[in-house]
Amino acid sequence: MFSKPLHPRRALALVALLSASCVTGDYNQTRVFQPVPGEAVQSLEVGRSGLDEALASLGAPLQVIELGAGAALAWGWKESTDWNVTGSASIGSVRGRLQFADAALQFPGVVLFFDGEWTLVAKEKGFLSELLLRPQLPRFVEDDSSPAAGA
Amino acid sequence: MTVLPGCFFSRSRTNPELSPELASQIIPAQSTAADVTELLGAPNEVVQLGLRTAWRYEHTVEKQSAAFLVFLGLRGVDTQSDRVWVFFDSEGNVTNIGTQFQASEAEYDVPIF
Repeated sequence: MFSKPLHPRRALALVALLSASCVTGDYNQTRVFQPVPGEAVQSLEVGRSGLDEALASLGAPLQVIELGAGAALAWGWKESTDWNVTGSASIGSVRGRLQFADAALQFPGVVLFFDGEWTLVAKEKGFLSELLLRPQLPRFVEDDSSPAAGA
Repeated sequence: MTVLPGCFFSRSRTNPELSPELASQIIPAQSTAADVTELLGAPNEVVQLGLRTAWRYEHTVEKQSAAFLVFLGLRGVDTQSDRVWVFFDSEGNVTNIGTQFQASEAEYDVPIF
């Protein structure tokens, strides 16, 4: 029930404001690759499992990274939904715009660490950006300092 | 015109398709780097692992679908890939191979609340 009719001038101002403003929204669903089975990761034993078993259980990794004399193999995937809402308005010569986004930028996954003999030495779950940012161990360098011929 | 409802579908593919049959012909302790190159061509990535190497082959399919309902857009993106990693020893012999073939599982899917 309206206790007081809207003044025509105010109604005109409200219509002008609504017609000059705009709110739009995006709802996004993203799937990138597929999760590896948790049981398969659990079945791999640190100190016993090798590269063969890991590849057979988890398939081809997303990334292979040299880590000292060994390597780190990473499997990653992403399933997320996010909102992106943008509002804008123009009142006279003044324009305003406001944007909200809750997109998840993290990429969850599993990283397996192997030594130089391809024996599993560690396995970790988490976000790949964090797991793979650990300090890199020195690269393996072959020592080819053989005695100089004829010296 | 910009407020009219609409929809779109798109599909993008990266790199040539990978064949499970060809990948299955790569046999650890038998195949060599030359065999792998003959079967799969040049790799997308070569990772040095000390004196050893690992080669990555990848084919990716991304399917995107969206619906625009005046002020609301609904968008779904699904990216799946076929991927093969071949591991070599210092002599260029295949020691291990890891495969997955999921590119064909990419789907068009507009999200619904």
